[in-house]
Amino acid sequence: MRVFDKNIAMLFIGLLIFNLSGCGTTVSRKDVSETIDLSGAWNDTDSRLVSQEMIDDMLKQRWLRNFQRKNKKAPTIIAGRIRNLSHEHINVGTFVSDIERAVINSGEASFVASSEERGEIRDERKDQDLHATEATRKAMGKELGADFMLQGQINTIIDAVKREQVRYYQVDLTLISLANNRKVWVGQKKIKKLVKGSNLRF
Amino acid sequence: MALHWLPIGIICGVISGCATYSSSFRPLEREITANRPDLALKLLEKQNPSGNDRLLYFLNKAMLLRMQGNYRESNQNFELAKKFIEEKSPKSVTQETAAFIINDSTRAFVGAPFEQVLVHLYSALNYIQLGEIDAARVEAQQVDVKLKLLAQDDDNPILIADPFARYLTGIIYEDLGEWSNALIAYRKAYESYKAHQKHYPLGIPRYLKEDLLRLTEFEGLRNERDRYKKEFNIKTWPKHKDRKAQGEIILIVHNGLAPIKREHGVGYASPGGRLIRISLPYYEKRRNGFATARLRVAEKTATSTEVKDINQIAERTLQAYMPAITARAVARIVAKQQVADEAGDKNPWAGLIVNIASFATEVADTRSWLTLPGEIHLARMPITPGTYNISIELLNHTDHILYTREFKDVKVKPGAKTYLSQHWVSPFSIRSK
Repeated sequence: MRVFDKNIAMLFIGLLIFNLSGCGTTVSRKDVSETIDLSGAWNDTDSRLVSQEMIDDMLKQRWLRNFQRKNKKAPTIIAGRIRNLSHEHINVGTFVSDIERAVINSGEASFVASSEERGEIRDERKDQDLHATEATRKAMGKELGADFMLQGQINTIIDAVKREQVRYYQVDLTLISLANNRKVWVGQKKIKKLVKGSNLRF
Repeated sequence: MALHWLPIGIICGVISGCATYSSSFRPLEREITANRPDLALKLLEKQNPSGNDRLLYFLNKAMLLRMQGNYRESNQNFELAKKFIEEKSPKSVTQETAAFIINDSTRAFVGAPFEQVLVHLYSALNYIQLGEIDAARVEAQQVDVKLKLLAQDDDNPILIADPFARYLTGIIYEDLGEWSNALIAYRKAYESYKAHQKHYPLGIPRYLKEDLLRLTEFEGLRNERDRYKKEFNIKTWPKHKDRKAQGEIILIVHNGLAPIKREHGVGYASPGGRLIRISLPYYEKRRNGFATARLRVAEKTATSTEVKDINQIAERTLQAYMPAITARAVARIVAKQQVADEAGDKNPWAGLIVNIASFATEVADTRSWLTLPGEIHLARMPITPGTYNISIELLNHTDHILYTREFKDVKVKPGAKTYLSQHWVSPFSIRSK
């Protein structure tokens, strides 16, 4: 084949690929429990699985039985600060919601509103004081005080060579007694992911 | 054979898009120098480049939003920029082919290494202004990974030394009370400034020297402290134990605009009567706004020191890439001439048209992040907690005040840092043509 014809072929293929790249978007529905890893970043599956496993472990430990035996009631927990010390902008809010859901659904302990959420509820109570009927009005000073605070952090270690990365996530949660600052439970969950990127694209 | 006309059609089709990128930036530049980033943003949104130049849109949009104090939306654009860089960094087979046939601008722009690091740095600065230091810490971590990866791709110290990114990382850790991490980052910044100094005129910021002395003393590392004391020839510095009761004001000033790439093209006729053109990019410096910034709080003053020299880094980066850019341009000329010659063998008119099209499409790649400043300056001032009216003064080389700005009722809390930021572009920063 002559050089000119080769050039034509190359240009033609190039043009075809350029045109193909503009094809439309497709959307398909997935079950929320299905694991879909796209970029290798922390995702909804990590948040759900880590919170579920860690809370399962927390509720299996001795501190719960000790508390129930002594106080004859289920403990009340409040979510403290869970810090994101990782390499990614992880939505800590959804992780905390997953933890709350796991605790409440277990029936072993109850969760009270966090300090941010309480503000709005107290405002509403004040408003009820002025505007609601006597029968439906909720009195102040009857909030449920928490027995324990759950604090934690999400850490990562990233080892990267070129387009290949090992992402190591470590989530640490600590349950602290509000009565005496005693740490009653310390949980840890680790996730390791290998992310391989391509060196070439079309 | 009809196929013979195909390359002509393709090449003619792309001629329309052959104006250089930097020339399209002039209207935006005018609005920025007139201190109207909102109007510059409107112009940018009208241009709304897609495809290969999309990253420039995200970067410029993020900077223009930042200039207006819209840090949240600015960071949304920086996130889009990061995603684009990640997706487009692997070399594209089709774009490399097109770059060989048409010009370098047909490749997706993913930014020079220093520009990629600055995405994280400015994103961190945005989070700092929003008071979200944990999120700024995430960016600091990402900078660390980025710098490691860049060093794996190319260990040319001209391309990868980014001491200010390390220094800012240290400040973020310190703000979170992570003293050991802060000291490690300050040490890395110091080593990086030393490596940087071998290739650039920028010195080691004196605030960094004081930070190293202060934290090594606090951590009980006497030998290291004494070594720094000797190296820096500093006898006194603010003590770390006083920091709990004190607050600190940190001023970061962004000076002017980064240099702009222009095209230098030479056209001539070959002995065979063909038109030949070679176009290469070069950097044109913008006039810097100020020489130093002065922070004035009550009776105290602090003078800024330059911590990042984007002007110099941009120029040296282009110099480092120039041999490859030139080699590609020469190879392209040879290939284009061959195509024209072969078209001409079949039909002289086809040869002429291919030659004209090749000549017209040979433009330099002048794409760069143009809303960056030319320099970044920093000043740190420990101060008794309270509410202050703070003024910043920007001075020229003869200490003449060019610009002042008042920050009213700024609260300085004990043990905490208060950040002030200003991007000042001199009305005279653009050279009149």
